[in-house]
Amino acid sequence: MTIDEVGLADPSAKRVGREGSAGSEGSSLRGLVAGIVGRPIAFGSAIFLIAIILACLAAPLIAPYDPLHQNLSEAMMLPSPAHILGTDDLGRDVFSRLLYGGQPAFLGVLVGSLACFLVGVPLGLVAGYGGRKLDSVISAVGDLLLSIPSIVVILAILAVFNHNIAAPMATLGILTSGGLLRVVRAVTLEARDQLYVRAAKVSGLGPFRILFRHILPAVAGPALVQLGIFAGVALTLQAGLGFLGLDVPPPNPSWGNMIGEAAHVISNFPWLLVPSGGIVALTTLAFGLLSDGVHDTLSNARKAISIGTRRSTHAVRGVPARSQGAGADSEASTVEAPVLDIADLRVSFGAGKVAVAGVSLACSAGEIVGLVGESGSGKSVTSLACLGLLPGNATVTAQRLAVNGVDVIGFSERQFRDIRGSEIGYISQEPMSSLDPSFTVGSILREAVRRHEPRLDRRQREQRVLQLLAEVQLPSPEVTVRKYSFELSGGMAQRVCIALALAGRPKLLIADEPTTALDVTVQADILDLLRQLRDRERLTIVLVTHDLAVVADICERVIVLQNGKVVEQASTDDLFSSPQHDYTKSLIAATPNILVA
Amino acid sequence: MARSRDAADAREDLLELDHITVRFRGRGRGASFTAVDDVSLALHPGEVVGLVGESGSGKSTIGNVMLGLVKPDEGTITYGGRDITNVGLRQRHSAGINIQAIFQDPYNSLNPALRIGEILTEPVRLRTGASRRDASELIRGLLERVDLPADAASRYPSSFSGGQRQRIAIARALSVQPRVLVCDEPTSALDVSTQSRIIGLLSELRDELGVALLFITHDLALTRSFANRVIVLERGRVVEEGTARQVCDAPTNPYTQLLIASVPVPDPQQQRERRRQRAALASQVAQARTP
Repeated sequence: MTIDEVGLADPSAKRVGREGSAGSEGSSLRGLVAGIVGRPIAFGSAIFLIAIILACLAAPLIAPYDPLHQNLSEAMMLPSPAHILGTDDLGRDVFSRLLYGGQPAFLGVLVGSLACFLVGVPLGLVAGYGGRKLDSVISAVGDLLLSIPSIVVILAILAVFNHNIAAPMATLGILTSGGLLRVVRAVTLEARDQLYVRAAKVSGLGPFRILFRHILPAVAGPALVQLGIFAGVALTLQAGLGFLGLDVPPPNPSWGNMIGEAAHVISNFPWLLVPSGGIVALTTLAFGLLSDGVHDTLSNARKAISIGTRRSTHAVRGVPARSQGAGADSEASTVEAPVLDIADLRVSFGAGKVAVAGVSLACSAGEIVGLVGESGSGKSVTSLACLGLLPGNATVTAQRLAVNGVDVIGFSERQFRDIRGSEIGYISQEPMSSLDPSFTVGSILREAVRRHEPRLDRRQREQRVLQLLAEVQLPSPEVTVRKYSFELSGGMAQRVCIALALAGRPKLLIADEPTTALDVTVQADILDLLRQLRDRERLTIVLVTHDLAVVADICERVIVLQNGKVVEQASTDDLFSSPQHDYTKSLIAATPNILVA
Repeated sequence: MARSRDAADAREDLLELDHITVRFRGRGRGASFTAVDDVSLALHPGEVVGLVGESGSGKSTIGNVMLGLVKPDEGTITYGGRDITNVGLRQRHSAGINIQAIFQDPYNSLNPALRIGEILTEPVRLRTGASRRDASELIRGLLERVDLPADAASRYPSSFSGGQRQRIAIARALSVQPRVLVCDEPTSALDVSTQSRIIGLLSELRDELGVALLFITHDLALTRSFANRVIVLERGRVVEEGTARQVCDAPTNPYTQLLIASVPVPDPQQQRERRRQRAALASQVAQARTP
């Protein structure tokens, strides 16, 4: 499935064969709600917050006592059936006071959030969408707001608006809006370059419509996260102001002044601090956890954790005669053990989405085998299963899954890590995003060499890095080692990725659409390179691709997959001259041919 | 580059780019990069012009110039005989200029937060001022035309495959009855069988509606069967142009020859022969490039 769904959205990247990802987009409100319901911690926090807010709003109805009613004969009592949270030093019911005290607390948070939102979001949108000049002015204003010490300003405001909640909280909101502004600006800048925004422009939509319809929805999520964080900060700060006696005028309760009152009697009645301090702590925590949940839902943080393969218990299915192992066409495989040997591999995701339904294949040393199919055929999933790189919701079973004669069924993540790079190398279709842009080519390769050959000293390691770069025929390796990935062309980046894959001297290279994102001339060069590596190192290459023309160029044998099953398997010459299966025929017919038309 | 219209002079030019140059200012020391260098081309109604080149050849920039997303530094754009070089993107609608686009990445070209119905209604209502009812009627027809189920209007983009999304993008472009359609690598992110169906749909629409297509692609094999004329770009300059057959079967420019020899064909025997030809050409072009 798509592991890279969110994050690096590169509009220029040519992606092929990405499988449908129904429901993975968290940008719609419904998706957001569903995402939060699916996360127990975030959902619990949301329920908690809603319950507290409703209870505080309904305080006049549900509070058992008048919050101001004093009864000195029942002062400083621990919780009892009559007073479920006890009483304070003046004999007032703590539970009732908490309910009433929550009203100014949430009013303050609401006012502050609104102020923050009303200043930060519009300014951020304009800064992100309005062009460079507006951006520099607004960003400067945002930075200025962030640099003002808010507590000093708030105390000054309180000197004017004594015992007022809205004024200091609105001030805090405006002063903090610099952070929200930055987030909104960044999201807007990114959304502005999306193709759907460009399409809207081309169809003649004005900037306001584009901002409202197409950019605001993208901004909404990250802005919510920021507001959640702000709410926590505002609540704590407000408690501080209450502690100092600066919020609601006494004897009216607020969570902050209740903490202050508790502090006065802390030596002879410590319990009093528990309800007031506890509610502030829990509510702040709930705001934080809820915004965490929103953030996770938006970034859809489904990590690609690898999982082991289980030995399948069911019997081996009959394999079509023409696809009986690798032996049919190549002499060598009858003598040598296959480099890759898969029998009855089955992979399904989550609840029942079957991606691979019983694939069996074998590749012998020095062979280039094409694994061909359209999106959803299971070709990428099959190759990722060999590497132990399927997402955590995948269920993998197989009769046999052997790499260089080593059975990897039941391998742990650690064991897989040991064979990745040293037994199997892997290159992907997006060479640019496979290389970390914050390191030079040299340091990326040195790291890989250090991992595979820890005993080399510095000079030897440097030598090996240069040798690897020379092996993939990069011109002037001494210059290339100092470059960053973004300074390379697509073809050069793919060569570096191949060098990286070869660092551990693997016998098997899995190349997943290695040339799909490249220009045709560069594609031909990379295919030449792969061919040479095979000849020189007797490397076995499994080429995962949708492009039968590439297969015709480089592969000796082809395995055609459809809907997770092998439908045909033959030598390349046989497959193209006499395709047996209808699906193969239709694939060949659909492949554009510059010689025929 | 005046030879851009020899055969077609009889017919009226719908859209014409005349000696267009686009420079991008580099960051810092004011170094600028010429993305498009003195390019002229013309589109006629019902014609498919293939614009072919490698990454960095300036082919997408030319498409963006046509769409009004990029302003040329030099040269003029003529639409139906009128100079529209200085007509801004938002004035284009009121000026009666109707050029729409289909982009490469179907995963990125539809707003994930909107239903298909909303995505399609937006341009229709803006352009034609149609009532909600008329617009939804039109959309039902459009969805049918591009072979999507009628209930598609109420679903979100995430529930469609790449090919289906590209059909939606085509429906969106067609909803305002454009006269020119700029297709920027519309099939390069799709499976081959999906690709051939989308190409089939586009050529049907060209025949039915007489819309002119600028087909930007890096895939020469596609242009041979689909495009009427092909223009080959190298580093912002036109190096060869002619009918699709001429360019693909008998290229005269060495770069075009290399480009064509590099396209693999789905036939192992022929491909072996082509590989040899390419190796010879590649060294020839490399020699020509080193002064």
